[in-house]
Amino acid sequence: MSFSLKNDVVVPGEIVAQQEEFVEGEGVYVDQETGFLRSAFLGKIAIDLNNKMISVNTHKKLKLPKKNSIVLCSVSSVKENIIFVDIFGVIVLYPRPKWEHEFSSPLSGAILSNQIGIDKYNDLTEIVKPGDIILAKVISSTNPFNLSLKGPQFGVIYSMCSKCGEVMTPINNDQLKCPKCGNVEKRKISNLATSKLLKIDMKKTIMIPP
Amino acid sequence: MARPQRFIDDEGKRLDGRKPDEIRPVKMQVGVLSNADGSALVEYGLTKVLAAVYGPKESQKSISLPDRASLRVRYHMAPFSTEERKNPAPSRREVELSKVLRESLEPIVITDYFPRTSIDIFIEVLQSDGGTRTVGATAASLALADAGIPMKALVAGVAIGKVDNVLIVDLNEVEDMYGDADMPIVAAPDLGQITLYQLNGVLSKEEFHNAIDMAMKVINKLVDIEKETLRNSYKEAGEE
Amino acid sequence: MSTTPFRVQIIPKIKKESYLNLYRKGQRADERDFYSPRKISIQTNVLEKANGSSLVKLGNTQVMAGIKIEPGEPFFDTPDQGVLQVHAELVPLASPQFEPGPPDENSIELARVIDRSLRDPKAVDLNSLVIRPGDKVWMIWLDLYILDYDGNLFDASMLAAMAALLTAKMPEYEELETGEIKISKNISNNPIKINKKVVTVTTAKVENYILVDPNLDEEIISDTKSVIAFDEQGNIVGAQKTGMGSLSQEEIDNIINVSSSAAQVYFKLLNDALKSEVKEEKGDK
Repeated sequence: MSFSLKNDVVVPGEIVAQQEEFVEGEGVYVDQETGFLRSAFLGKIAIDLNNKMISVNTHKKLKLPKKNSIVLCSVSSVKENIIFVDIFGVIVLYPRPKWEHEFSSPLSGAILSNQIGIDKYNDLTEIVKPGDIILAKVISSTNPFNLSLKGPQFGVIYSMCSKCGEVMTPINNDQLKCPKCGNVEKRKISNLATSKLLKIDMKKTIMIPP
Repeated sequence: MARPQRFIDDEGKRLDGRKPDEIRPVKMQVGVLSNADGSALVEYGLTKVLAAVYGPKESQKSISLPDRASLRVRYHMAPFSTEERKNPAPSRREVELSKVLRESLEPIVITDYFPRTSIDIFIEVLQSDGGTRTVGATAASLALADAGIPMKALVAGVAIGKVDNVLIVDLNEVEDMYGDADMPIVAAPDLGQITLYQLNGVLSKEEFHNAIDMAMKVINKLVDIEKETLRNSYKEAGEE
Repeated sequence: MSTTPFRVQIIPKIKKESYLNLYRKGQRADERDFYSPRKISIQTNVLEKANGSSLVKLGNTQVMAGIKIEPGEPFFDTPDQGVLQVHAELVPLASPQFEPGPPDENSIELARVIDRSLRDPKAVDLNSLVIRPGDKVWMIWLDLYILDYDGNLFDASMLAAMAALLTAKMPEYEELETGEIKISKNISNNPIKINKKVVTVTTAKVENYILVDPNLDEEIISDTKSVIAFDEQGNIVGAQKTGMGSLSQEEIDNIINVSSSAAQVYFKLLNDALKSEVKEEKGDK
């Protein structure tokens, strides 16, 4: 590098390389005026020599979902071909489920009927109902966020009984039963909702944000 | 407060003992608030300004832009910040300063990363002794960087004034109130760009040129302090 | 008009169940016992240009108080008394839930509860604030600025108010021939005459559990809150039930008991902060 950087911790606007030396990775932008690569963030420099790429790893993750993020949402409305949700935050599943970050205010998301992952159903309310807490995957990373329910992890985690409001318990992968009034309802249920261990973990993490 | 007879003594010193091109003692701190995504407290002498950043978050429909994030900036003075208690309802002055401060930050925030979102920047003047908008710009720059909002560069602000026919930097309240000119300037020295200037008073063409020159030298120093403050905060966060 | 808050918090609903599980074991999520407040720090004279000021941190909640003292006219019905004006601002930088705008019902309630709890026990000696009876008196503007919101604004605000009042200094002034009162830039060494100290203790009721100094999560899941103001002798000098939900007579008795012990904790911290203030002042000279 023809530049000798005094610090590997850089701040916004700081020159990290010349355009001929490296291609810009994440957190780096090209200053068109001068041809310098500059950092867009406070963070640490990372150099990938194989691809001649220079990036800046930011000190704080921005609180927005990215493509493939797993998000916790509540269902706000269910239309004929589309489910609207409020996204509360990003969750990591491994090694154990926990919040990556909770948003200060919810973001809007939508699930199209071709992103459900189930072929046979009469109507989308057999998949989710308004008020359900669900896990979904982000498939487009700009607002409004498109989400998918394809895959066994994705679907309902918590659901309140539409008759009495009690939290229902899953009895198999597409049915929930209300422990209070015995009402049985149909949903696409996440396999994490039925795992007792994971559910306990889930509760713990929902309870105590990082 | 009465108008002083002279602003600069025979030795070339100002009322508070500073030289014409000398800034007041500067203090900067980031991460001072827990709820905000980014925050900073900046002091130039007795002027103290707190800034907080929230976002990017979902825009209200009315301000949502399809190709970029929108900025919302609010400059506000605490009722106890001024000589006489200030009514907390926003004044016309605060509305204008909110606008020019937003426009001083628009060129440096990389807004096209986050379409249809908004980034809120709240600037609260806790104590006012001249130069509040320029201290506000410095605090906002730090708070944005602390929040991890992508930026082309850091900015800082300083006011240039004219008293007894001499250009001076970083006016305090007396110099602002009774001086012949007050010219707040905000700039991004890394990019060589000026993002805010206003003039209240009268300057010759030459003085105007020299004032900007003078401001750029000081802003350079201020941005260096911002950089050091941010690097230190990064290291501290790393140690935890 | 006051309407039911429409913001439905779904995650807190799930959280509530988990919190209750902890309470059944006698624990709180931040490992406090039910009746202990969070960590408190009280700084005074944080603003050089105000007559009095303080910054109180109660856990992550931060409140700044600023006092400005200006000459003014007395109220018609109290010509021989100065005026105390309390205002509170929920500054938008304190929380994603605070929006810019005129004071809402929450900030007005906060200011009024603090105001009443100071006024009714005559905490500030308003009779000592007269310049010319019936004509000119001192107006004390007490502004509470909420900078960071993690629940229990009442207790933090009252501590900030008290710390600022107790360390405030009257302005120096002269009476002009025109009768006008002109205050000089200098601040005198004369304190505001304070008759008694007051603190408030906020408790949240979550089902049948009573929690002192609730943080934001606890406030959100709570059924209702009680704010009880005490003087140092243990008299109740103000009270307010706030939030939806209701309380039984027995619960109120219990709340008074636990609150009155917590008040002693607040008084001790307040007095300690003021003592160290005096020491610092002496050290300076």
